[in-house]
Amino acid sequence: MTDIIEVKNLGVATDKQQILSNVSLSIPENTITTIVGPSGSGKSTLIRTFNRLTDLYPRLRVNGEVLFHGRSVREYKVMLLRRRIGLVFQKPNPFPMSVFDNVAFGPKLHASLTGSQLDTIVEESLKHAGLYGEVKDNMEKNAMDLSGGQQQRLCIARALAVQPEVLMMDEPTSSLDPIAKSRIEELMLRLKEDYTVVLVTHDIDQANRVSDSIELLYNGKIVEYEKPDVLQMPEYEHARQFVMKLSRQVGRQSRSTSENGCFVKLMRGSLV
Amino acid sequence: MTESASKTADFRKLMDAKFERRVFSDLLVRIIGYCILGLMTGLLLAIVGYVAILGLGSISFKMFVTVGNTSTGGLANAIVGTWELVGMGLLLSLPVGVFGGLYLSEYSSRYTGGVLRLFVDILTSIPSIVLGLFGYLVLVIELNMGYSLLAGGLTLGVMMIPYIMRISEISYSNIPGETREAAFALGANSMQVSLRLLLVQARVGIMTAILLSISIAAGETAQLLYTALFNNGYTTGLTHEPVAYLTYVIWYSLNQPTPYAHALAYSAALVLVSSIFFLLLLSKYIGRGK
Repeated sequence: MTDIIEVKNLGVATDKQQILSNVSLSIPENTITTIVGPSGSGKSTLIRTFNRLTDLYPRLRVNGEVLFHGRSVREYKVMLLRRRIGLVFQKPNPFPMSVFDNVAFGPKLHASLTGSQLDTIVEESLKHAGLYGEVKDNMEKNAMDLSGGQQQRLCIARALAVQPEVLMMDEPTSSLDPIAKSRIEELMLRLKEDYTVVLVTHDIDQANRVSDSIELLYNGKIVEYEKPDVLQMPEYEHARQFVMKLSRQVGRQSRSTSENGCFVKLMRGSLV
Repeated sequence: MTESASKTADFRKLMDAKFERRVFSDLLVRIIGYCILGLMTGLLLAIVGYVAILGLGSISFKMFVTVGNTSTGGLANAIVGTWELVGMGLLLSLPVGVFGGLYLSEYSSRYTGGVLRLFVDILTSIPSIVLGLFGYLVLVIELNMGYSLLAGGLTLGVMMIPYIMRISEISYSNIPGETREAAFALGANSMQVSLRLLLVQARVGIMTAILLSISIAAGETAQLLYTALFNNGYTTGLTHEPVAYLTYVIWYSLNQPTPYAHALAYSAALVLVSSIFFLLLLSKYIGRGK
C-alpha cells in the first residue's frame, strides 16, 4: 500500500508557543487513519498543515515537510492542493444558502460547468454522503434548516463535490447526537473505498470502531504507544497519564451527550 | 454558634441592610430611561407633527407634476433633482464603500486598517458647508464642471462613503470565520471568497447602509448650495447645468414674502421627511430578517 501523505519532522509554532514538534507519520491510501489526543494537543493544527489552511494564519510558523504523493505541499498551487485534500469541520458549517448551492459552490470555483454537469455532481456527492434520499425533493431548501446530522453530511457532500482524493474530518461527530454520529461512522467506512480518510477525534471508542491505524498525539508530539513498554518509559510518563485520562474523558462526554438528548426532547415537547 | 457561622450571620445582615437602597436605585434607572424615552417621543412628534400639519395644509397633487422656481409652480423638478443627485452620489459611494468595507474587514492590517478607519471617521465629521466649498473649488471651478449634477452628486457621494463603508464593514465582520475557512478549504481564492460568499452574505447589511446613506444625503443642503445651485426646470445634462433639490426649496421659499412660496416650502419639507421616514422604515424592515 502506498502512502498518500507523509509527514516528516513537522513543527508548528507561534511566537509564544510550540504547537507541534517533530511529528512524523504516514497515511496509506484508501484507509482510515485516526489521530487521537486531548483538546489542545495540536490535532486540528496538524491536519490543517496538510491542505495548508495554516497559511490563513500568518502567525503560525511551519517547518519540516508534509509530502502529498511524494511532493512537498509547498510545491502545489494552494487552490489545487485544497481541491485534492478536502476538510470537514468539527461544527457543521454549511453556507447560509440552499442545499444545492452548498454542494455546487466548490465545483463552480474550479470549473465552468453546464447546468446538467452541475446537477450530476451535486446528485453524486449527496449520494456519496448518504444525504440524497432526504433532500432530493427539496434541493432549494435552506441548508440552515437541516438537522445537525444532516448539515454535517451536507458538509461532507460539499467537500466531496470537488472530487478530492483525501477527506480529512476534524472531530466530525463531536456536536452530533448518537444516531447522527453512528451514521457518519458508517459513512466513513464506505468512503474509504474511494477516498483516503483522515479522522481527528478525542473519542477513543470511535477511533477503535472505524480506524485502520491510530496515531496518538500528545502535547504536540506523536507517542509511539504501540511499541512494547514505550508507555512505561520515563519520557512517556505524561502520555501514560493521558491514556488513563482519555477513558475518563469518554465517560464524561457520553454523559453530556445524554444531557443534550434530554434537552432536545424538552424542545420537542414544548413544540407539540 | 461557631465563629464562622456568626460571621456569616453578620454578613447577611450587612447585605440585607442595603437592600432598600438598591431597590430604589434599580427604580431610578428605569425612571431616567422613561424620561428620556418621553422626551425623544415628544420631540419627534413635535417635529413630524409640525411638518405634517403645515405640509398637509399646503400640498396639492399639482405640485408633484409641475416644475417650480421656489415662488411659483410646483416641486417636480426639485423632487427629480434630489433623486438624480443622490443617484449620482451612489455611483461614487457604493463601489468605494462596499469594497472599502471589504478591505477593512478582510484584508487590511492593523496599521492600514487603522489609518483608513481614521480617515473615514474624520471625513464624517467635516462640516457639510466645508465639503461644499471643497466641491465648489475643485469640481465646479478647477475641473470646470460648473454648477451641475456631476459636481453636486460627487460631493454628496464623498459624504456618503463613510456610512456605506463602516456599516458594510460590520456586516462582513459578522460573517463567522468558519464560513470563510470552509470556502478556502474547498480551494477558493480570496476574490472568490469575497465576491461569491461575503458579498452575498452581507447583502442585507449593505442594503441597510445604502438606504441610510440615501436618507442622509437627501436631506443635505449646504454642500449642494455651492455645487448644484438650483434649476427652475429639469436637469438633463451632467455638467454646466444646475440642479433643483428639495432642501433648497425649503431654505429659499421660506424667505419669500408670498403665502404660496411658504406653502411650497412646507410641502417640500413634508415630501422630504416622509421619503426619509419611508426609507428608514424600509431599511429596518429589510434588516429585520437578520
